Amino acid sequence: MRKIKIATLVLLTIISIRSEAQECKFILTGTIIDPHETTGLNDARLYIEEINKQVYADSLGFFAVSNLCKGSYHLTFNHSSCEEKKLFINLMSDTLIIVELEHHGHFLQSVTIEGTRTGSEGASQNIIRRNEIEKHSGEPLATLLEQVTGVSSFKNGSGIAKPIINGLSGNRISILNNGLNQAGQQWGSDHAPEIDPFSVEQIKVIKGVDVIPYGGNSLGGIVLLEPSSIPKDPHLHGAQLASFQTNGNLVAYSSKLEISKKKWDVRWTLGGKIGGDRSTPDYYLSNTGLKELSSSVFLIKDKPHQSSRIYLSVFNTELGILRGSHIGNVTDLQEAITKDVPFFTKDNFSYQIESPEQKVGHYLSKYSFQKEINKHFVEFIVAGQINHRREYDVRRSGRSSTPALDLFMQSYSAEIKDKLTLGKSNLIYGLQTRYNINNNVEGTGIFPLIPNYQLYNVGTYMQWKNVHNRISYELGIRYDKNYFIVSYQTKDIPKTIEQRSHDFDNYNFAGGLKYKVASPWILRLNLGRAQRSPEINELYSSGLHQAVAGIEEGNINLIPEKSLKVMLTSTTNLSHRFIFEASAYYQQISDYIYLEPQKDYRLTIRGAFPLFVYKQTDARIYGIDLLAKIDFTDHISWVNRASLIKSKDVLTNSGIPNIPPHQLNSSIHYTINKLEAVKNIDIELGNKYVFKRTDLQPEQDFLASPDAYYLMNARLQFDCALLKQSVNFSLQVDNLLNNTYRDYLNRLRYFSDEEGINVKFGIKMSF
Amino acid sequence: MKTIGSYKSILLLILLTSLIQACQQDPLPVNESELITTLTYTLTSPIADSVVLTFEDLDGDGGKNPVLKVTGPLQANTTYSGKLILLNQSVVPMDTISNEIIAEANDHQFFFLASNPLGIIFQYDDADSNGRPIGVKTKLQTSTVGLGKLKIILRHMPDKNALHVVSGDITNASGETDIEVEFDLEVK
Repeated sequence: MRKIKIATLVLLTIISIRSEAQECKFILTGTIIDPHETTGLNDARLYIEEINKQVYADSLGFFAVSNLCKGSYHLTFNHSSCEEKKLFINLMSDTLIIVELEHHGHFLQSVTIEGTRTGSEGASQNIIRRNEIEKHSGEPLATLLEQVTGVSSFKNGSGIAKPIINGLSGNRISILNNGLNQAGQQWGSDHAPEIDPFSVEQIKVIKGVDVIPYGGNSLGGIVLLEPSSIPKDPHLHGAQLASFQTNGNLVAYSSKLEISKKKWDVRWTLGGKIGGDRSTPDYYLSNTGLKELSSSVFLIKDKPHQSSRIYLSVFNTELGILRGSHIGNVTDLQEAITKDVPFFTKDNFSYQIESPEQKVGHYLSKYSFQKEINKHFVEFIVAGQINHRREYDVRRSGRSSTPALDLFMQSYSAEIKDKLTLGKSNLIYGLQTRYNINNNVEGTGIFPLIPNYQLYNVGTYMQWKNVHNRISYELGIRYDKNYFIVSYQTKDIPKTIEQRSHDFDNYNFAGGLKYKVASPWILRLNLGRAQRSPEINELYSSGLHQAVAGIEEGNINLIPEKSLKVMLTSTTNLSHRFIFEASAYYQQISDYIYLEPQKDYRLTIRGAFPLFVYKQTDARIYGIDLLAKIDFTDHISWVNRASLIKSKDVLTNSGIPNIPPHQLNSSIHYTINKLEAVKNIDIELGNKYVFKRTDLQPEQDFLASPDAYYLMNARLQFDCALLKQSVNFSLQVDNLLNNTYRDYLNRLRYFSDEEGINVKFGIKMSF
Repeated sequence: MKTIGSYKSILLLILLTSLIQACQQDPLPVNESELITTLTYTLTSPIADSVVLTFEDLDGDGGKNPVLKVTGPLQANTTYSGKLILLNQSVVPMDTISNEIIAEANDHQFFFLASNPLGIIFQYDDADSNGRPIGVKTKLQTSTVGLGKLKIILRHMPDKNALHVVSGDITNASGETDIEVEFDLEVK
């Protein structure tokens, strides 16, 4: 059964007390506790669906319900500052249960239950749980991750966003869809990860030693999306979430159904969204609509000490790109920069998506088998992924309907890992192998931006954790071999296909230490040395990057980047009333791969273009992330966050492009629990201030970094019972003051302002 | 365990068959159908020698640098008929792109910008279905003697209704640049 505990993040102990009680004379007693304090939770409550009864626990978290009949019950546990927990029990006798409710933990690092149980103590993880994910209905994955201090996103309009973790993005971070390295064209700065975040139960942002089991090449960290276990409840349960946004008239829907049958536990998710042209305070952003449809099926078959799991998912999206951002040459770009309103801006709203646009399909299948043998917990995984990306440009003679870029990638992987528990230590080790094949689909009529290639990867790792009362430590080591076989097209006439291979070895080491200075004060130190070998675009990309009016050229002589990162985190937590966390990091990357602007322009028939070649330099990135949360009363709390980051190219002494500017966030929350008809009222008022980047040289960009800006947002949400169902309503307003601004991390800043006010309505029904 | 074994073998079978599918692709060089490798601007006059301006970049962006040629000087105070031909010589048989431009005349317009000292005047000598200029055919009138530059620009999806665009002023034309080449020009 241990595997279930690990996956569900619920610790539940049911102790049956023998009783001679009659029918409908059973007593259910229990305690609702905070797992970190092992004390009862004040002000917690329990709802029993079958008898429609709300029960309040006492100040120590104790509750008792008498006169219950024999039978099965659905229980829901609530506490204002905790994640809601649902349980299904079969009442056969008087029963005592102990329920652990996890505090809203996304603010803090390392608050994983898995961690407290298995000793993932030196690690640095942030977890975004289901209810936080749901608040961001309609948004892409990357903007949803922005609630984690130190995470920002690189955008190409609102619909296309990529996460940045402590200043690093793209090839330097890995996105794991269901534990699998997302296969696809992740190198592209305008290629968003093809994942529906609403199909998963939790998302983790992992830095430090815990990155080791998931793959090399992640200098910045990883984003791990995971479905949770399916509750052992024989009845059909589910949730439906629908939202509407006024900006872009975007409608989003997602649903989840789950049931536990004798043989299989099943979960089915379905999600979709459709949106039209977004708007700034002054004009429409023409052709920025999007469509998305995704679905997944998760099957679990549990037997004593073993479990088989099958996960299948499909994801399809169509994303419009601002028409005015499609330009022909440098003159066009410079003209676009001077325009207040982008070219091709229409006066009316439309759902229609025309070129330039992207259509992407992602298909994933995964089978895993887990078995517990004595102190070993062994998992075997095989998986396959298909990613088909088509990008359309504005072209002549009806060619706009022919993709200008058409890439078809297949990825197959197999993995075996073992977790060995030895007293207070545990050892995780494994072997992974992956084969990727990426082909340009014929018929684009355009010289391919990246060539066809095959990638063979073999990785092996070991991670050791040791947990003691005051000091815990962990060590990790990983080796990866990446072998590329590339079939590239020559530039000289006659054009032919030639083959070349590249062989890279990457070594990663990491260590973590956690020291409990005093009960409310914990210090964590992480130290890691990581290596990242160049990716296909850095080696081979060739041709005009129309979006940025530059010609990019790969460099086959690149060697792996070597990073050394140290991170120190201090967490003070005074009984959840006052939380202060400071995390400072310093990362030094030698042979940092970047695009160097060349002195000479390259002459083409479309004029002279600046030439950018992938080169290597030495880089430093350092910063500090701060979080302070104060609960003034049980109802009012104040959350403040700051992310300060500096970067330096050691050779040129200037800043590094695409590193986020400093940022401050502050929000006030007002929560009321005990109103009769309406529950869990939560009112939030948030502020955000983003600074201007001043450390860049004029020759590094066509346009200086945009000015600093300030945004305000507000949110109201509450639960109420409608037709015996629990319904959650929310109303959110982003950019409340309808400010006009441009964001440094949005590539469209050359062309257009950011979105204006956006009012979002959401409704969620659970049954 | 038996059932699990069979699931596994089915999955592996799916994986293997797709692998075999994957490996069959034999890449061929891309047929770059949209590429413009060559621009020739031929200027003829009954009273002067013809002048041909050529921009040629047979391997497209990157690779070898493009070659620009002007066969000789223009004669002062002379009216020339100009004709533009765009070719894609990277495909066999070679493709005449200017025919695509004429077929989509409403969505295209050439602009001719001569540097000031030359005092050259351009006039469009063709029209799209709305009666607005394309620029494949032009009339060019020289005046004084001098050295200068001539820039030829092709805009895709320009706003031909914008102010002065029909008379060849690019300022308000917007659209995307498909061609922008500049020649050294002498008027004798």
